[in-house]
Amino acid sequence: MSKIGKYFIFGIISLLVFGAGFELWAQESSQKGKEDILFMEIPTVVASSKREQILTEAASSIAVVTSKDIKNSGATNLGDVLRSIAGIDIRETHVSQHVIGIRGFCDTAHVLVTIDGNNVFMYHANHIFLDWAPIDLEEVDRIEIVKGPGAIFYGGSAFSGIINIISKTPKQLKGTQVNVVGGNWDTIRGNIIHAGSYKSLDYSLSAGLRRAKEWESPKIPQERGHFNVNHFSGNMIYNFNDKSSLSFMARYSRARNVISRVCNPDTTFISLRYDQPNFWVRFFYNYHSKTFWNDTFSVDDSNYELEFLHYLRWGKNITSFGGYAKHTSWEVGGLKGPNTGLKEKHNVDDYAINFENEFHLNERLIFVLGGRLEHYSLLDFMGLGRGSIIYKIQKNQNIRFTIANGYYIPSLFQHTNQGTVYPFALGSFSLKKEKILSYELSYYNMINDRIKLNASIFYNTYQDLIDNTQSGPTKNVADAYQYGGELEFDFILTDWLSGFVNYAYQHIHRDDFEDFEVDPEHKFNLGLRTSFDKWSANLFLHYVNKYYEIYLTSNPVFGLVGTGPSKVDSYITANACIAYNIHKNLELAIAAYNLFNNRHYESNTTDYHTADLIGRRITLSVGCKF
Amino acid sequence: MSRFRIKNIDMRIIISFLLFAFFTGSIYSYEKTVIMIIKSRNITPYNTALRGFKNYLNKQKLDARIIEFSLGEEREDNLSNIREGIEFARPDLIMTLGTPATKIAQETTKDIPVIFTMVLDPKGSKISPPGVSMDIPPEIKLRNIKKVFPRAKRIGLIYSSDSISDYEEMLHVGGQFGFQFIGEKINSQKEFPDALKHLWWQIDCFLMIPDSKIYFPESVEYLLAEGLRKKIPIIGLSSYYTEAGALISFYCNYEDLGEQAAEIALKILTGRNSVRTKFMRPRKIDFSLNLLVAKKLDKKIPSEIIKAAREVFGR
Repeated sequence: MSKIGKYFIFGIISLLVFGAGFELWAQESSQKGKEDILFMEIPTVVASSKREQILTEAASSIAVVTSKDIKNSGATNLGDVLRSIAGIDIRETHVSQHVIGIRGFCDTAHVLVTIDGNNVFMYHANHIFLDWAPIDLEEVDRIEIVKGPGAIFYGGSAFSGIINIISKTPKQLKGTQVNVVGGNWDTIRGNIIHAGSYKSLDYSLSAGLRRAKEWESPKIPQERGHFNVNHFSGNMIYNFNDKSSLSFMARYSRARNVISRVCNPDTTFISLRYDQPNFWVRFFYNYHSKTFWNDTFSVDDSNYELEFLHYLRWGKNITSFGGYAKHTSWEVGGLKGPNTGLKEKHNVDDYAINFENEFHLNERLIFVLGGRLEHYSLLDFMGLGRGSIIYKIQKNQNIRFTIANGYYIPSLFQHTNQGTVYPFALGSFSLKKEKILSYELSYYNMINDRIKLNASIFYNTYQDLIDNTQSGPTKNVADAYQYGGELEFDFILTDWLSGFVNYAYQHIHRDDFEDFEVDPEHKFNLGLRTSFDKWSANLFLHYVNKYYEIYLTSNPVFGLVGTGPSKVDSYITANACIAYNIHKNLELAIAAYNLFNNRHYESNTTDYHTADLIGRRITLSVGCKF
Repeated sequence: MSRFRIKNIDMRIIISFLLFAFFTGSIYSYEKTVIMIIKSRNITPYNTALRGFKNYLNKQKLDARIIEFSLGEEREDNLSNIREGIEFARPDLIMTLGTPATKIAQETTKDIPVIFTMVLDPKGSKISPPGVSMDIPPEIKLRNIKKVFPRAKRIGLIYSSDSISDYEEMLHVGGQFGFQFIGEKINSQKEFPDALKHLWWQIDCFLMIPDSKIYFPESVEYLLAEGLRKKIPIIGLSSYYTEAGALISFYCNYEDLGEQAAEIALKILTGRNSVRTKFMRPRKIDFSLNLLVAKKLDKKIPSEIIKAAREVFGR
């Protein structure tokens, strides 16, 4: 029997086992006071981006992963959670490293990752791996994924998309919870989260750890066999009244043996934010300090950001305008070897203003037009724009056409590394920004009560793509064009069975590689969810077509794979999770990632330490709240 | 066990503080009226009502010492703490916010007048007057619904044995506003999705009536999401519901509920006992709107209604 046949039989058996009945909600409601029902916290069903808007009226394609999706998935890391989204590329190079791309460009650098709207990049390398981000799955309220250039509000790092992780507020987390996950491959993930209120102040504190054994033993002396991450966070929100608040958030993580299993980064985020209706302002401090390659080198990377956004409704318009300023500095130091004691330091500044107007001509037609003007120390002035037309065909149907351009600001490494301390991956001050021009047509239709359809096609052109070479200096080498699309169905089959199915296609033609498949062209996902009394179950199938890796996925700083393209075979994985609510505040779950142990690579297979052979992980988790 | 110990320590500190505040305060102003406030929870609506209460007393120049308590989770702890608090502070009057605080206060003392506010269905909870309930008279709610949904004829609602009297009251007065109520009675939360399915195709909007047997976060989230999908406006129970995805919610003005309680308090403190046997109803009704939801439902909300809303979400 083929593998696919086995997967479907497993799915059907699962459904039969768990499909005998249904109870939508198992928990008992408490009756403290009848009026408590008036003050109940209710999950918001209208998702938001920088400004709250209805998803189908946003100028870009936005997908949302909710905390419920995360919980149901049984995933042990954010990377695996994101695999279910059409058009997202996730490559697990090591157990400690899930590299992300949107519509190709799977190197983490071309996707902006934010936590609560704060850019969490290490700017010297333009990346962060979610595996060591100082936030845990239980703290996440939702993840919004913007596909396509989002630079108008997010700047040069939002080249092919944005992943905005929105954390739960202290009110959502209220109480104390302990979550523990353990499994094979020495997998341990645990956290304790406490949140409460005092008068007008809401607060939350969390501490957690993640560790696991790598899929393969170390192959070079610099690598280690296990990775581990410890993280802490604190959040305070002072509510001046029901409408305005001041929040202070601090997050810290200490990761060991991540990024190609050779880096030890410490990450600090501090944010201060004021919100009131139609206006917010935020200050963000983002500091990364790491040693790598057996503590031979060190890097310190500090970023200070200040940003505000104001929006107002007038007549048939909603107008947003904002300002942004950032100062970044990085320093590479030699700790061992010939460059011991040497240091190289660079600073850059970045300023931008942005503007967007949403004009509602009538009940059916919306025009969106916006622009951004940005000044970056090493690139001078840059400008870009975005325009969308959204037409509501019927109540449950709309069509959107968007043209947007964007740019990718090279990392500080790519721009400035002179090699006086770190002699590899040399930068170049003459490096230009990469440019993207994107056309997207999308269609949304709530076909009936049970089926929702989302379809998008896109055509992108690129200029001045950067060639990372290990010796350097980096240079702009190629133009390219790309086309593709996504087709997504969400469905409710019965009251007790729902799911989704999606397919993504993309093809890129680069001047340097022509039609070589540098990213997988076909991806397919199927998810089924069911629940029965206190039981719930989830099954997820994920197919990725073959591709050829040319640039190292595992370390974006390092450029080409080596002697030639490395073929990564197509693979299919099945993940499953079964959960049982012993009590409304106590849940047990067993989850399997790659249930049928389809051993596969998701990244470079030829070079000697850049990717591992992925296996099966079984985990048991207990979560309790009191 | 340790949790209780911590809580007891906290309460000892609070009581010590109260003792200190009471004795040191009494040296300087021994004639001050002492009012003890007991909140069921420390949440914004209660604090808003409390602000109204204090503002009114200040305006009336009542020089009162106000001592505040918030209830904890354990009933026995609350009872003993309140008893100790009363013994030490010897208040002239107790003002409670919410059902649990009111029940505990009325249970703890018979000598000291207790007035309540922010209580829904005080009769049903066997709470004695005087006090201010949060029950909005159905005719007021329906009159407001008529203003916002002039074309709506059929209103759906789901009720259980706990809320049957609210449903019957709606039926009783609904005719005069031209509304036809289509109700589904359910006996447990499990029946909620099925009951909703029967209703969607028959109704122009859905009215929530307070019923903790039916509504809890997951069921409300389901209701709001389904309402958006079916393009049926949901009329929620408070601005929490509007913010989450209901189109509109009617609710009492919490500050005014506090002020009403203060008026009763003042009458009692000044010896006018006529109010002791009365339940007061809220006199100011506010509403909140969610314009994002309105857009999603393709509902155009007249600008005068938007202007009149106390809170507008999704602008």
